[in-house]
Amino acid sequence: MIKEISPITRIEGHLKVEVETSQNVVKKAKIVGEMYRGIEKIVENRHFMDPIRIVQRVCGLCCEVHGLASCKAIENAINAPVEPNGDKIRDLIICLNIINDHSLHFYQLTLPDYIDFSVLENVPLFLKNPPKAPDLIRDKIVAKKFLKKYLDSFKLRTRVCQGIAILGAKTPFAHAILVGGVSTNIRTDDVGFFVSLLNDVKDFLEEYKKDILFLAENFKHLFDIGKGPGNYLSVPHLYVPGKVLINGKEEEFDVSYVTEDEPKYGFIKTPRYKGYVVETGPLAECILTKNKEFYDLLKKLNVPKEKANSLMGRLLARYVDSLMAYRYAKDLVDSILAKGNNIYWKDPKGLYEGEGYGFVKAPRGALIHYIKIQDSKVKKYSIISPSTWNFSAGGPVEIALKGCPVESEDLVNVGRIIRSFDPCTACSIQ
Amino acid sequence: MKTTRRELLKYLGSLAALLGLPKSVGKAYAETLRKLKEGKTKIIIISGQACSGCILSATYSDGPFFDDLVIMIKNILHPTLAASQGKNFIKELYKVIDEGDYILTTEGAVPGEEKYCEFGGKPYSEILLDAVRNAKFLVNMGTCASYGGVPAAKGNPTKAMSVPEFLKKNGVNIPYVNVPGCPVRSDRILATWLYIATFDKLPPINQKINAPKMFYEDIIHYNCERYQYFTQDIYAKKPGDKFKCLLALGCRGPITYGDCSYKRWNCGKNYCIAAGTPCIGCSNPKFPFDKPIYTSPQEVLKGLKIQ
Repeated sequence: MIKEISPITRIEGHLKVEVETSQNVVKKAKIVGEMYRGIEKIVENRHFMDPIRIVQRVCGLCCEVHGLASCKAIENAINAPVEPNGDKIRDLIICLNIINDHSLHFYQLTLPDYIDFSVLENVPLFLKNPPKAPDLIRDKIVAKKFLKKYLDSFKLRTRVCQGIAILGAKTPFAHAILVGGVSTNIRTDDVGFFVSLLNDVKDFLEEYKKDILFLAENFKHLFDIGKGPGNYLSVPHLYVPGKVLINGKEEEFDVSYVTEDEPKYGFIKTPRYKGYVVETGPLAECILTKNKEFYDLLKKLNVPKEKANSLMGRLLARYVDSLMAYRYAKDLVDSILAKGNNIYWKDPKGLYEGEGYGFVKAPRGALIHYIKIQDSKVKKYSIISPSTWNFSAGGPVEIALKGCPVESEDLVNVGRIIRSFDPCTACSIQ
Repeated sequence: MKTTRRELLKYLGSLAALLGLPKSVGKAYAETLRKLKEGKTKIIIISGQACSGCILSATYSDGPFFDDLVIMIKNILHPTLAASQGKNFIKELYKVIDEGDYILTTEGAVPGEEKYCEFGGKPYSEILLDAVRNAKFLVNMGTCASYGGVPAAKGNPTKAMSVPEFLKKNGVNIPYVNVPGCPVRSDRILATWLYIATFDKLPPINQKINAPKMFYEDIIHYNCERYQYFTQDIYAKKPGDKFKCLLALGCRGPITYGDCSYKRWNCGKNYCIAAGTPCIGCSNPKFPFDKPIYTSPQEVLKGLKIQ
């Protein structure tokens, strides 16, 4: 029997899934991306610095990572040096972006899959119609508590975004991120703001930890579904090394092994590493770095290590990633100098040529930008975003969906598995 | 921390002042919020060739906080927030559409070919036409919906167009307003909704770009904190240069309407020109322009059509 979820809500963008089921279990899944803009094509033949601002518009959620990846690709192509303080400021922007993104994913996009808010009076229209899952938590007290957290997280994000704006002019789409650093002048009082902001983030992360553990305790059966391919990839940036794990063998990440095919169906391209399907994202990074925090949490939950590769494992890893980003941000704030001139500017009117890659650890995993510059114009531009890796035809998500139990018409667990990868369709199809 | 009624009235009073209305209108707004809370005003947001930047930006607001607004505007529907999924979401959406009398808000451009944007088994264009049919007002949120934006940039592989252009092509007439920006800034969209809900009509618009006067009456350049350096011909050689005009780096402030220079972004924390990076004209109907973004002032001024 073929069933589908169209549209998949609570994700970024337009996505549908078709699943072939037999005896209430998914046998085969097909993920189809349904929106295309052709941004890689749009930047072709434009001035080589334009992609920074235009490909940033690939996604309104992970915009800062695209901006930085684009800068890095251009810097790599034209051999542009980066002002060290400016580089740190750019990394701090990315850390805040990661915290912002994971908080949205957990509180707004994930929670309604597990907690029925419609048991409460006076809930907004969009929360009134939860997926029909037999295991949904329907306790009024729990729902009330989590609705408050749901709404409070908007405030934290507003604050985090103020921080990004101080460093990057504004957000979404921080325009101060440029080739060679950032244009922003950092003042002493700005540093004070970040000390206070990171204190708020710390408090928030403590709550987040409690909440994710509560969810994991109550949905332990979700450590049994959503097993991905078991091959992982990460690119070198921030607190993550460039590593690949294929069939249990670990190696250094080398971009020359990355291949990219045209989409088989829908609009999502199919990237592979040495021909293998690889998963990327916080789970991949926790496993590749043998993250202690992550494995401690599993231990606390009495979940064996092998079950890390699962739906709930991914949600857990996303919390750990927020924590890593917070710690890294804290170190950055301690070392960033309050000063002006945070950029080594390359005059855009010069004549440039070359090709280069930019690697960024995005909230959803490995982000790669490639640019080829000829006569100071973009000859070719290519983006492999984390969601392209995960959502390609035959890719990690389709593998993870195999064997997923289908208990209701609403395909709740199918939706949960897909959301555990935090799909960003706009990113996967530029 | 919940916004208190007192704080809210204060905020609404300042909103009223911004619109050039007496402060007492703040009370009218409060009345509107009560109506919203009772579920009498509905807002549907649908998204086409978009990046979700606009809806997210709308939530990065500090007065009123978006969470208060969510509680107040009980009847807001957006696929990124909806608990329901698949057919149930489409059912929910069409139920609100059938009831009619809502403010329709669009995010993103409309592709020229249906296959480039589908949603719930239907082309986006079809959903848009269905939703427009019963809508009372149309608000185009962000530059893509308003003017085409990035998807409709030079080359335009999907023949993307703005929502007004698409509706004109299909012979549909509806009172609409554009709230451009890439993305839209939260207070711009929240206040536009509030105005429409309070006065049951569209806010006064700047006819040149069909956008609310309250935010887009003036050219960014004229209120720019670096205007004095422009008048003295002191130009920046690189981004981040202090006390210099950014025109020589390709600043689009002189050709773009907006209030960025005094209201700034992200709750007033910063904005492009203050951060030393030129305005790229993200609320300009021509954004992202054919000419290079970081270009010479001659190229910027060539397109200059002020007043």
